[in-house]
Amino acid sequence: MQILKTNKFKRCVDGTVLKEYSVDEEVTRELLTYFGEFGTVKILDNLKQPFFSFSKEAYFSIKGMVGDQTLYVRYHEEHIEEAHELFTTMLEQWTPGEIESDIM
Amino acid sequence: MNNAATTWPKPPEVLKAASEVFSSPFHEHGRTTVQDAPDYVGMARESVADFFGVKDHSHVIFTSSATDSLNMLIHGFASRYRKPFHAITTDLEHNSVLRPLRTLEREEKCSLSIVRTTGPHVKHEEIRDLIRDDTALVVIGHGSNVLGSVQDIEAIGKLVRKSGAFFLVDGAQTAGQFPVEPGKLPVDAFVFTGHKSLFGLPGTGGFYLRSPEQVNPVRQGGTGVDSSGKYQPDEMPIKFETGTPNFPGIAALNAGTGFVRRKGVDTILSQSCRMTSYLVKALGEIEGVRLYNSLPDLPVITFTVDGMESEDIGFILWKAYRVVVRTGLHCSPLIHERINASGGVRISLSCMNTMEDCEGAVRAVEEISGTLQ
Repeated sequence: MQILKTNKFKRCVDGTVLKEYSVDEEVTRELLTYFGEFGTVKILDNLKQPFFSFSKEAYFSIKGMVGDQTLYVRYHEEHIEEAHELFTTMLEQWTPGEIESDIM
Repeated sequence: MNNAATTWPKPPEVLKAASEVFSSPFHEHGRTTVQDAPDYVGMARESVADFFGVKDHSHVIFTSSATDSLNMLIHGFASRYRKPFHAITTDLEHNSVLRPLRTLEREEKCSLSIVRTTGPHVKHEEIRDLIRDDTALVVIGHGSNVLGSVQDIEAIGKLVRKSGAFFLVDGAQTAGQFPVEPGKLPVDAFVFTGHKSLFGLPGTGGFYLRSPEQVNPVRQGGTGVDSSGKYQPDEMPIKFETGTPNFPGIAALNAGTGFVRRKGVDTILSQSCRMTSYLVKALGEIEGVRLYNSLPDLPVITFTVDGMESEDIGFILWKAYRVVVRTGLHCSPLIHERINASGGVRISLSCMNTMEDCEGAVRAVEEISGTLQ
């Protein structure tokens, strides 16, 4: 999965940085299972469109909707470079049908 | 359903008025030789003044927002008063009231007392108990943007003016959707915004000021007249209006005010009350939903859902259901402290909403809440 563009950037007073990314693939349940290897994933089903959140404590969190090609990422500012690298590596290493990863 | 922030959609005549402005050169008093173009600013001033029951139209001033108006009035009052004074406000206020007052406090130009409310309404005795000999300014929001409560500014105004203090009312949430004629009330200044219930565009607002000599202009510059004068003229409205006006915004405000007058504020209020009552009842029946005012005077409902961040609820409402709300502290941090909510979800209606919109929002919140049970 690749980031196509960064749509928004916002620095929040709570010490986090929010970025909205467009990506080249839809978010699938398989992708969320893969994300689960790196942090905590929550999915709210039974909505018109399922919602998911991912949290890698002290580094970053992601939220979005299953089926969308937009990811909303909140970085903790003190680890932003490391967190962004981890996030992009997670995406780059994602291959549908193969959920194992060695980046951690 | 985020109309307490900015009303949307706008009535067609507002959009038409805003776009028609560009069809001819602007009629700018003293700044052009154009004579026969519409005088948008003059027309809007007359319309807004009549709407607010203000006899002298020149006492209605246009600004860029309610925040701009509050800053001009609060800082302008302090500038005119010259010596340190005591000011009173409440914990229901928006940061557009709190921050200018706290800035004055930090600069040691005033000491500040904040009424800690116990319910949605400010009791006038809570104000009375704080009035001191040196109290010179009282600033109250007419309508709360979090609880949807409307304050009795007539009763509070009588009390404040009896004390000799200047009574400033922030009408950002009420103007256009709750009957109010500040020109006929014991109010020294009343602030409005254009982009909420008067259906204008963002970037417009204004205030009514009863006695201009009580406030100094905090902006100085070109007025189109009296160009040889060294200082800002004392005449109204140019004492407070400097620089080129926002013609498209003011034309839209004029059209929006006309729309509200034709529809009638009482009709608008009763229509929104019906929808609000439905929402309060229906949302209140959903397991896990916590409402923060079950009897709002305005179509403003703030709630949380147990076990879920308000920001996520707002996110899902938009992404999955195309329902627009506002989440967080709504720029009114003190009232959230009092109601013990670290941020809420706010639904706020306008007369352009329908019962179908409300039913859709309730179904969406039901589904969101249902996923957590």
